[in-house]
Amino acid sequence: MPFILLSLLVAFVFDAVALPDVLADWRPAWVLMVSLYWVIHVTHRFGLVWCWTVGLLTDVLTTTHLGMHALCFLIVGGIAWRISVLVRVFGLLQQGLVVIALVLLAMTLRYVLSWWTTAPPTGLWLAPVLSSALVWLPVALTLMWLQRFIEPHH
Amino acid sequence: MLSILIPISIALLSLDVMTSWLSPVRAGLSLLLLPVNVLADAPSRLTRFVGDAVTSRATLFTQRDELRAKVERLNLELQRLAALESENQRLRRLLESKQRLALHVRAAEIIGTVPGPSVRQVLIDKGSRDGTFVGQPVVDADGLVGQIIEVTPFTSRVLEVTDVNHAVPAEVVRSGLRVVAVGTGSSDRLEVRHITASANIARGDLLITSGLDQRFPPGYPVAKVLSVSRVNSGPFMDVVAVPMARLDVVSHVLLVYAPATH
Repeated sequence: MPFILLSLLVAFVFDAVALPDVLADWRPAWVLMVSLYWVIHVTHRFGLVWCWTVGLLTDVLTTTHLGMHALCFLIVGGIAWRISVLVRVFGLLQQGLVVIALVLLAMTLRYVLSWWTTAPPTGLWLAPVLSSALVWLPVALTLMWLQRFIEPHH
Repeated sequence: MLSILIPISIALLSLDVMTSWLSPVRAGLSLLLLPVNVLADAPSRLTRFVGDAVTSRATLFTQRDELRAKVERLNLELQRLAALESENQRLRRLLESKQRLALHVRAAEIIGTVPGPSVRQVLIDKGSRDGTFVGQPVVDADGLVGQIIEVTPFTSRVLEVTDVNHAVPAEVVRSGLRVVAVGTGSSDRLEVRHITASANIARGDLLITSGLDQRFPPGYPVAKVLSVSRVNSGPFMDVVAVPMARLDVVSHVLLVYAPATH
């Protein structure tokens, strides 16, 4: 568990670090990707309550309405949880496709919800999906390395 | 689990959209996330620190000379200001108008940034223990920075004037025209809304707080008008202004406390 928490802390910092205005829309969904990786790979330790909590903290961090990211993370986390047995046997790149599809779903949900809750969001709402796809491989490799400390018998 | 958490999320969301009851919860959780904000601000702190640490001797000497010259100049101006202030008060008394009050300020350090496109907020190292309160004005040496929107015991969250959710009533110094300066989400732009085509406002005009909001003290520089343009011969003009406070680079800000009487 400490390693999972550490990876989440780093992901949160990456989500919070200041970016120049041009890049602000292109911030990858770090926290969501890390959560999805853990849901798929250590299902028994990182479940839906975790996804929801992480989403709630994201709401606080990005000052969106409480529950918005929590709901999005919960729904895509739930899907990942259901298909985790299947996805785990895929190679990292195929897993990446699944994760990116889930990130896309989360971003779309967030977009729809933000229409309901506040003023329509500005900016490129699909940009994070593309940038997340670009950084998936390094993220997954790092987490795979961390995973060895969590389950030494692997 | 889904069947429990989904309704909870929707209930939370509706509650947070419609009421402000959840703000203590948010404040508590943001205290938990403080390490994240502080760590995320580390790169810019490091650059500032390295910049300070490796300045050459020659640069320091030049800076010292510049600062000395500046102190002398400011001292001179201060003397003149004292005379002007007492004269101003005499005149105000003659006119039986309210006297302008001196303001208490206190320095605070920026310890964290808040992510999100078009979100312009920072965290500072003063909280309710230092007497900060929601709605407290925040300024820097050059102009208005924004206001406090959330207070925890040790930190506070400042909404900057450039945030899309911020608007400040201002006044054009040259013409006395009253306007509203609205944030755009970009760190160096403010928009002045609903300016009729005949209004007396021009490039280079200084906007100061008008104090009409009863929140910001009157007379603080807010922004300088960058461009004034007519859109599609409509009834209104597009007025863009640059904030006076150096929002990108400041590491310290001043909190304005309730005015103290002379």
